[in-house]
Amino acid sequence: MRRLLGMAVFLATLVVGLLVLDGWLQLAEIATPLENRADPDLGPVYRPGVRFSRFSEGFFLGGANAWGYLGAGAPPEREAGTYRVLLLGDSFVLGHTVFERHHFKTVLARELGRRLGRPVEVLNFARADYCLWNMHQHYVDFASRWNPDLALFFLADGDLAPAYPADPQMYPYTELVDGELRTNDDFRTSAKRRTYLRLEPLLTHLALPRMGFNLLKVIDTGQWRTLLLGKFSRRRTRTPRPSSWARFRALPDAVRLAPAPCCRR
Amino acid sequence: MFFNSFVFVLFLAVVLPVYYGLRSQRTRALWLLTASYVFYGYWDWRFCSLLLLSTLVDFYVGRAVHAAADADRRRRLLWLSCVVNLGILAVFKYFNFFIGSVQETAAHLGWTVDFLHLNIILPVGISFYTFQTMSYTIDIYRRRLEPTESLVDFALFVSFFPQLVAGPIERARNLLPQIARLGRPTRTQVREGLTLLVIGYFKKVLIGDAAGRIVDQVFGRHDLYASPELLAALVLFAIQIYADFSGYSNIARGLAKLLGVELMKNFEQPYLSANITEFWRRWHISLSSWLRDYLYIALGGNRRGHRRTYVNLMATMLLGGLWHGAAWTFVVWGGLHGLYLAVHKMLLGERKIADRFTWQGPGSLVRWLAAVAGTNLLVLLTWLFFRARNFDQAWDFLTAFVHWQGSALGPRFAGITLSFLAILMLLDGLEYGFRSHVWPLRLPRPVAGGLGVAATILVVLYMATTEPMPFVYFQF
Repeated sequence: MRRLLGMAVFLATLVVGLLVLDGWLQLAEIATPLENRADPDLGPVYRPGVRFSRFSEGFFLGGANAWGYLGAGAPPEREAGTYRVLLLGDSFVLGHTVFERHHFKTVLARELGRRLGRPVEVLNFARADYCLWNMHQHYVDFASRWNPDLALFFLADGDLAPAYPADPQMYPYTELVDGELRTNDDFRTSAKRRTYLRLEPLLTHLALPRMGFNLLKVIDTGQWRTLLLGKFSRRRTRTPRPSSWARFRALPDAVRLAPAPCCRR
Repeated sequence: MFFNSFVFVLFLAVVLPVYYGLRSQRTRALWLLTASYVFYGYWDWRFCSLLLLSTLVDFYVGRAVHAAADADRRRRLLWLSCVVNLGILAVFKYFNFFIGSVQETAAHLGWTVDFLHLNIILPVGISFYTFQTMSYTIDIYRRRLEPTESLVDFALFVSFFPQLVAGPIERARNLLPQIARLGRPTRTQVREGLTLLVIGYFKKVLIGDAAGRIVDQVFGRHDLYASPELLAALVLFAIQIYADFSGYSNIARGLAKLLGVELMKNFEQPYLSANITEFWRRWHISLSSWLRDYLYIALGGNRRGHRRTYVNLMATMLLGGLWHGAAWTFVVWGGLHGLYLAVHKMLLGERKIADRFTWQGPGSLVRWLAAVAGTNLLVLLTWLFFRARNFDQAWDFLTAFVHWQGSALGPRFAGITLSFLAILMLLDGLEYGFRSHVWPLRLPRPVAGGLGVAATILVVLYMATTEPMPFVYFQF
């Protein structure tokens, strides 16, 4: 009986301890809950009003606005006399590496406003890992509601060919089948997605499950070898992937020169 | 290898079971010596040669000093040890600094001086083991210590991996006798050791490293940040350096306990000090006591009148500053502390300071809290010079504090900083209150176990998903 009581106290302390520490992790912004939710049509989208930080390639403290895109933001309805520019691109444009006040969109809004002599809004609708097709679809499905004067698409070498997402079991993605671009919707029935949907409330409110998810990624991608063995881990040589431009050139003309994308996201 | 890496965990998984399986002191010492050289050589095997040189010189010089009857010969031998040890330190740590300083001064005078610039890496922990070996020879010279007969024991004293690269700077009087009777740890040592490891890793990884990520970003490009953000970064650095170093010391002591060895305490809640003298009794105790015993007292200490005492304090702290790093900013850091200590000694006169807070009514608590806050403000100013890349950067910070300009992210930075401060003060408050570094052992066992497992889960998750940050003091 005494042992049982001890075990119960141990488990209760463990759970309470983890919850308290999770709260501290979030307050200190050491780790934050998942900032995205997996929308079945739009793919990963920010949870409205979410705050988060990034340290991997720079330093970012920011969050999404009430409408679900990055930065201070503005509602779809535009104030009269305001010139509105939308930015669409990948992580390069998204800018999880700088504060919003240092992002080029802020500089662009200021400079353009000065030159045009009227208020200018530059809204950031970029998303990490998006290719040209994804960007366009994101514009059609979501960003176009903001009725811009100008929509700027930012393309780098990596954005010309269809992007194959790291997580095809979670989101729709574009693939090339028999010379045609198609949207793969297999994710809807995947076990991973079902697990995710079950865990979504935890993942979006607690930081620890998200850290656990990141650990799974480390294991999935094989980085655990370097992590565990340090200098003793053998470097694995990978076959170099053809450049995006080469892949783009290799697409059939019908796809390459198509005026509109044929994927959903 | 870093304590906060999984490679080190694997290293321990090999070292500890083999150590426990060995039966004689000699084989245990040999095994730990091998492990210590592997641990050190993991950074760069060439560093091991310096460690070996320092070991051999002090082992044989120590014996010769002990055997010499002639005072002159003893002094000459002591000089030999000092010249070799400080020579290694001078070449590897200070050569380029001094050459650079001479060149800069000459350039200010309009002269062009082109000296040799050595392209060398600073061996990890060189300042720590150099001071440790020097104390051995000096203690023999002062006839406070008998030299050891065993080269293996002495080599292990110099290279003992738990404290090799960032202390505590152990005295031969404490560590050598323990090495001479190496054995399995007691049950209490194992429990205390594991507790120290959990607290140490929590402090180092979750407080020190996490705060350090922000500090590095802000100090890396301080021109991008507004006043509240710069102030937050400075406070976070004060938190980082303490959590990092005291966490490391806890890990070192915990590891040593798992090997049946007791190392000295290095920190005693320094940010709960009510004055600067108390701060230095609680901060990096192994270095401050080393400087007191081998430098301050050698200079005459407080035996030659007030004025000389202040000069000695200042000289000790300036050299203490230079010990930390080859840059003038460290000298200023030491100089400021020397100034604070001298002024405090002047104000104190013959009075003694209290060791800790004692409750004498609510007024005493308010006075104590005000004194703690004042001491920390003074210390915070010195951390600016410690962390700044150069004087220009330190000046920019000070200018931003004087010409205060708010920022929209100010409240967010304040929230982050207060969260780090709260957890650190909670841990220190518990240590202070329980008067023990292993305070969880005073809690009911299931509660301590639950908290320990929760903290370990967090540490493992953080370590597995972020790049390990080196200990701040490794560079010294």
